[in-house]
Amino acid sequence: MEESLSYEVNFFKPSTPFLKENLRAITIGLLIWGLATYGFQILLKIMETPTTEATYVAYQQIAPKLADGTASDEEKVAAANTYLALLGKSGALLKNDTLKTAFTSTVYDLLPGDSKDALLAAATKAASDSKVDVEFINTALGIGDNSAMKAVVPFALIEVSPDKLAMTDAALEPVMDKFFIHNQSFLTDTIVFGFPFHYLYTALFLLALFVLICLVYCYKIDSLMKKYEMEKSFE
Amino acid sequence: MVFIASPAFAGVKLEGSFKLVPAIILTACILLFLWVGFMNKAEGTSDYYAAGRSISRVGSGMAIASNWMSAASFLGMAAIMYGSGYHGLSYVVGWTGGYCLLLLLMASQIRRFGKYTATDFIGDRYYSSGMRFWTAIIAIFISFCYSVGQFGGIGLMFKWIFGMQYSASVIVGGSVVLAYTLVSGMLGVTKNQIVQYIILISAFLIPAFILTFKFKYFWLVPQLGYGRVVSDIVVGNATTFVNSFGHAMQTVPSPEFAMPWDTATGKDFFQWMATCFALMIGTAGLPHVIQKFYVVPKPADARWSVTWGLFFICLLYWTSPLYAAFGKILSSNPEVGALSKDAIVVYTAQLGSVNPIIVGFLAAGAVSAAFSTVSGLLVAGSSAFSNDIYFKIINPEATGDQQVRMAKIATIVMALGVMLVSLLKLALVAQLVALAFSIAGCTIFPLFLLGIWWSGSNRSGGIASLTVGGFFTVFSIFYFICGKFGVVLPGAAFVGYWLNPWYFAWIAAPLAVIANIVFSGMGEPTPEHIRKHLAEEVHGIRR
Repeated sequence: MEESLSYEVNFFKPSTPFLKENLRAITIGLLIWGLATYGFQILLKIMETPTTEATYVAYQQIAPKLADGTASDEEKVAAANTYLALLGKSGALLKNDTLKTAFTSTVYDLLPGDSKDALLAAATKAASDSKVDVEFINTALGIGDNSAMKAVVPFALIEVSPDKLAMTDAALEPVMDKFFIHNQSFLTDTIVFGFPFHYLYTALFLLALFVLICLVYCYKIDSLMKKYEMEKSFE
Repeated sequence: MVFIASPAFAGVKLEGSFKLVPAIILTACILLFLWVGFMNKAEGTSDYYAAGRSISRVGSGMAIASNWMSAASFLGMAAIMYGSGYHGLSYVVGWTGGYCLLLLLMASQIRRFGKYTATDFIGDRYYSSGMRFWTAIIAIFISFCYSVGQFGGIGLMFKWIFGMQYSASVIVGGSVVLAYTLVSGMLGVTKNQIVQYIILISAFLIPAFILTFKFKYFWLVPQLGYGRVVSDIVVGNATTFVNSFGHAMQTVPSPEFAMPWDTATGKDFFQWMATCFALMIGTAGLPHVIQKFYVVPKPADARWSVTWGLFFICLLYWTSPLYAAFGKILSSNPEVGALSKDAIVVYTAQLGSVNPIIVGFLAAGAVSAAFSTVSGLLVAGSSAFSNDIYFKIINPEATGDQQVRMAKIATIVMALGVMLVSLLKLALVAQLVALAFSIAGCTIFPLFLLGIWWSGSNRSGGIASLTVGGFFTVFSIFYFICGKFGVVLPGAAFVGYWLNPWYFAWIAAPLAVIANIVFSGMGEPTPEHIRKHLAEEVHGIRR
């Protein structure tokens, strides 16, 4: 049916030499555009391996021991640090009482006898006032020189009763899986100009490539117009 | 050096009170826009719609950029990256990559087709006043959704500057935009958009230089310099600096900020791809963007102005993730509390102890970004009504004066409606805007694509295409609104994931194209005069 009609325009059947060259330029431009944008994300997806943060790898060994009460003091310190690192990730996590209970219980358990009451007092005070002295906790956890972790401590405390400590909880596992496992590969772990490579590629390089595609296409069409002497009659 | 404020001090407040200097800067900017608008007042109908086709390539590139960059670009993108990490980059890439589609497939062809509005093109190409009517309605609806996002942004900034309630600031800010769109018209708008671009881009870039300089990152090109901030966040590196509250500038190790589709962000691979694709095709289908090609003298200018426009846009988009990164690392201390994500750009500058005058300029830049876009949207929406519905369908005898009057009435009605809906605060600024893109991507974009590149696409195909796009739009929005009001419909989880209002165009647009092809084959062939116009005028095929 198409053949019988005059004035046919079809992207896949260019009818003049100008259109042929124009469409070749468009197709090449679109191919580069599509591969660079979506091809790279697909590559990122193919290459990725779920990578667990070091602190959570250690914690997974410790958790069963926390549950059956055989964890050593070092292991309790490590677990408390893991809880703290998780709490520091987002404001929403600071509302997770199970997590805060696990943190406070673990710290209570590992502190020497005379500091335990100070912890309970600090937890009570922290509920209403974040300006609470937690230096003894920082020291016990060995985070004296990590300001990001120290900042979280007053917000990580919650009132616990010494006879009902819960140093770990099955409910924490999905939360930890969600926040501690990341999609990484050499594409994300290679650092270029300070950036993780994939971030640099997507946030900066792709945009520059888009501008470049447009620029080259503009020059190409301008020269096509000259070649076929269409500038006056057509533009 | 004078711009770099004194060291941190305790007890600063990010919000709340009336801020004198920012208020003065904002007022000065608005007066400047009004003055430029007055100096370049529209005369007659073709002036009102298309600015007399008298703007240079670089100039119209700037106008494209400022018409394009709204509160969503200025505030919203950083907000999404701050909250959802790598997922936010799908917005950055989607909102720039769409320009490649626009240039390669459409820009000079649209200009050669020779119409004033997107609706005009569709009405003529598909020779149907029914199609003309429905695309006009869609164009108005798109402008409407888009504007709601902008008014939200304007409201946030007026709230920050004047310390007013959100509702009051939406009403005040909205009225100012409305007043100035009415007095200026589109010639004023285009010239204004050049001024607005210069203001918004300097407002956005200056704090970026200051932040990287202050915190000893590579400040000569802040867009590269913030890379180490991203790595510092991922690893949790200690820095020697503090924010304006005196908190150390350091996060706990947070790979979720940069790693792709991290489970912590709640967004997956499919959502990244779908959002990016929907935004790209939406870009190439937005009436107020397409309309910009009618203000250039020649098709070659249409091509070059898109390229310039994209470059000017990228200047801001390259910088936007910087605010998200600094925002993240400076607000990591829980004492800062939860910040309103949509204002994170401004908070970041405050947390980085940037001089209050510069922060004020930044906020004024945000308002300026929203202003330029809203005025373009109001013109696009009102001209869809006055030109495409009123003049072409209701009253073909109308004089130029009557048309301009109808355009002004339509502008007022639209602005009032937008204000009302903005007060409901349905979603984040960038998300509301993304909705407009999905609608444009599955209704208008497929019609332009096939309309330009296939003469066989006819009225039957066009109607089928529009029906498919329209159906998905209504379906997705219906589910979304029901969800908002707590009504659980069957399959809500399925629809919420696969046909989310922010990206349903990923599937709706290809289906609309298929519908167009299939139904075109069944209908009467395209009339000869349209095929002739398409072949000769648009594609230069001479016999």
